[in-house]
Amino acid sequence: MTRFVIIVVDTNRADGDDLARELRELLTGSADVDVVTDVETAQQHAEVIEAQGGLIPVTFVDVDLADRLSANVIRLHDAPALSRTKNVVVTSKASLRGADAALQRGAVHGMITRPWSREGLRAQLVANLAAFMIEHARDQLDDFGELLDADTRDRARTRILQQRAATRHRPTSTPLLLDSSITDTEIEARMVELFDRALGHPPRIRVAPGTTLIEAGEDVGGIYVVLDGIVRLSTRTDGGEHILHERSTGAIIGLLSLASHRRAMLQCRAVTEVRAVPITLDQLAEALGAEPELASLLTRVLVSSLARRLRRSDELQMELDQSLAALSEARAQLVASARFAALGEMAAGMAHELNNPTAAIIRATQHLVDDVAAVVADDGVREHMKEQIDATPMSTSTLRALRRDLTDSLADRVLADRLIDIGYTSLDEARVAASMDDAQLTQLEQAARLGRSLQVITGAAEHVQSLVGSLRAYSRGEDGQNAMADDVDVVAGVDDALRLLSHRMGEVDLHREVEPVAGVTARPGELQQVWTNVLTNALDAMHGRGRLSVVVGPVGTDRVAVRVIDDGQGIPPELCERIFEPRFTTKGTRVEFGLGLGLSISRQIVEDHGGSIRVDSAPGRTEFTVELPTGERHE
Amino acid sequence: MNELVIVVVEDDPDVRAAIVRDLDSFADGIRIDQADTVDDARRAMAEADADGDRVGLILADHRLPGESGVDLLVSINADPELRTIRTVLITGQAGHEDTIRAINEAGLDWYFAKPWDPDELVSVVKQQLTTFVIEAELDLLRFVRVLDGPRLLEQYARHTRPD
Repeated sequence: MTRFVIIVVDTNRADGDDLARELRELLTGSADVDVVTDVETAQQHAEVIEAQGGLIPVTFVDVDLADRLSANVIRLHDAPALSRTKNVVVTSKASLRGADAALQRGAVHGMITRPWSREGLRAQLVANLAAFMIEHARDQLDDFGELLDADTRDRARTRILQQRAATRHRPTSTPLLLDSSITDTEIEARMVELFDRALGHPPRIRVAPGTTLIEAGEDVGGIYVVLDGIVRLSTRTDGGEHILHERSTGAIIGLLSLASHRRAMLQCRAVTEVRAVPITLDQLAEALGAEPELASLLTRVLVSSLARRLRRSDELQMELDQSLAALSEARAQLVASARFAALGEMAAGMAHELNNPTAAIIRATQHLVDDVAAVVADDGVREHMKEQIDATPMSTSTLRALRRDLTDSLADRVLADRLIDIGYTSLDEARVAASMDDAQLTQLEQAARLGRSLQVITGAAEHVQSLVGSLRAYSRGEDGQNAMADDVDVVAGVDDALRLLSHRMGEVDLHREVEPVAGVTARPGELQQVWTNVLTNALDAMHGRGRLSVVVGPVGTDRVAVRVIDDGQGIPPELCERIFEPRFTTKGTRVEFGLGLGLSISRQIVEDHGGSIRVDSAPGRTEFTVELPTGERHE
Repeated sequence: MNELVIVVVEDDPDVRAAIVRDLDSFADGIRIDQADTVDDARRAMAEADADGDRVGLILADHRLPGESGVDLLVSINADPELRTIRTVLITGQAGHEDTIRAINEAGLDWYFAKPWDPDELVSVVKQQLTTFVIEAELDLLRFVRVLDGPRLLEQYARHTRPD
């Protein structure tokens, strides 16, 4: 009985032993597995085995130095005792560089990467063992029992027949490029068939996930026909690795590089375990010469591969455009948001600073009233001054009518003006005073003016104080942080915003309907931004007239709704959703507080607070509803 | 003709009172009518017209309920009978566009921003009214004391002693 020996050549003894152990388990005693650590020993060992009448069907060669891989395998192949042996190259490099020359010489019959899968190792062992046995020891095929079953033998036999036919030329002329009834898979299968016939079944390689098939920027030694598995094409920039193709890679790797001076543009790397047929450039030329049909197949594959990649490139372009647009919107929103926050901070700071002087003015005015009253000796004059402090101003038309009557009755317009200035509001009162002397009139006139000035100062200071109070609500929070606060009063916030927008009201008729509502947990400054934006939006649509309703009330037991209803021209239905998009504005070139981002920012804020904002619009009635959850919230 | 009239149009009573008070020095010789809206200002002008008085200057706030001060001044400028009236705009925060429109379409004679300088207000009103009096060919001597006396006298001399 012939002794069969599988030689494992591994520069690393331990690795070689591992591989041998695995092979022995697969062979179950039908062949010996010997391990050596260099090519010379392998050659000497092979001579000994041959001398004893043994056969060496397969070697597994693991020489990890990429630059010497080809040289070592070729030396092995050239050794007389090993010239018929099938060589399976085992590599733990995540790249296949350096195997080109050996492939070209036909010294490599299979390739597998570490860590190998048991399945992959078995496939390589069986395929090469079967090929060797059929070619050189057909009678002893049965020695390997189950390992070489009938199927395997048939496939190996077919392959060998193909190999023998490879030198024969068989012209075909199928117009494949335009034949859409043939699928890419069929084309690829046909190509593999033709390569097999032309090149005598070039070896299949099986590489582990992560293996680099082609490195970007390097010379391409040939192409890979991918039989199964996924190959990723990617490129590397400062921004990291960019995956360009994965599903769109196609079955032929490296073909496009041939069009660019053989320099690979992209890195090709296995994502899953990949089974492929490496074809060197010389082999490609040889196969094209032997099988002209290959050229049209390659063209077809190339075109569909280009089409696939072009589609992918178009998709990428669209994704890029969308991303850029989204980015620029996000940036604009951030800027507007930051601007509002900065303005709010400044306003709140100003309000804080203004609070003291305003309080001082109000207090000092009250003291002034008391002190001036004390200084004025004449009781009548003092009383007159005090009356004027609380007097309500006459309407301008009443004023003009009174003056005309007085002028007619006194026949002295200047005197009439003085009496009115003193504060007389009826003809009878004024006629009595008309008899006073000039000094008395002057005193009363001055007292009246003093009273009215004090009234103006008090009124103005109180107005400033209420505005200051409203502005403080725009502050980010008590401690200057943008923090959540409990029990934020929605009604007070809406009122503050209304007060600060009073200058925009014009002739707008404001209807405020408020029911008691529970407080919300919120960032108060952000909510003010929402009220301001929604109210500003309504006022913009109203052009200074019409009816504006602001309704605050509970919704169910756990929500509060603020509804702002204007009677402006309304929003066309197709725009109702778009008004919440960033940058959407119907305000033309006017730059408002939100830069056209007001409603978009409002929506974001409201949603951040667990609420909702919506619009319901018809011509003459547009209603914005903001709903917020009441009570405490846990984020 | 009875009296020369200034119409002050301002909706805030405190501000209106302050303007009228600042124009106190004209009281003896020129009447100051007050109005709080553009409509009211038109009524005041109609009343003055009915009484045979002559409105010489309108001092209007820009922002008023309803029509704006600029609207009023534009409509006055568009009326051939009224366009000799001098127009002054006084405003808290008119936008650029409103100011441009006031100058281009209302033939605005002067523009004040709040808060105004009372001396400047008096001086501007005095010069504008003097111009009105001269252009309207009123009795110049009647206003020598209250308006720009030297300018009125010079004009008077030029008229009575033609070369």
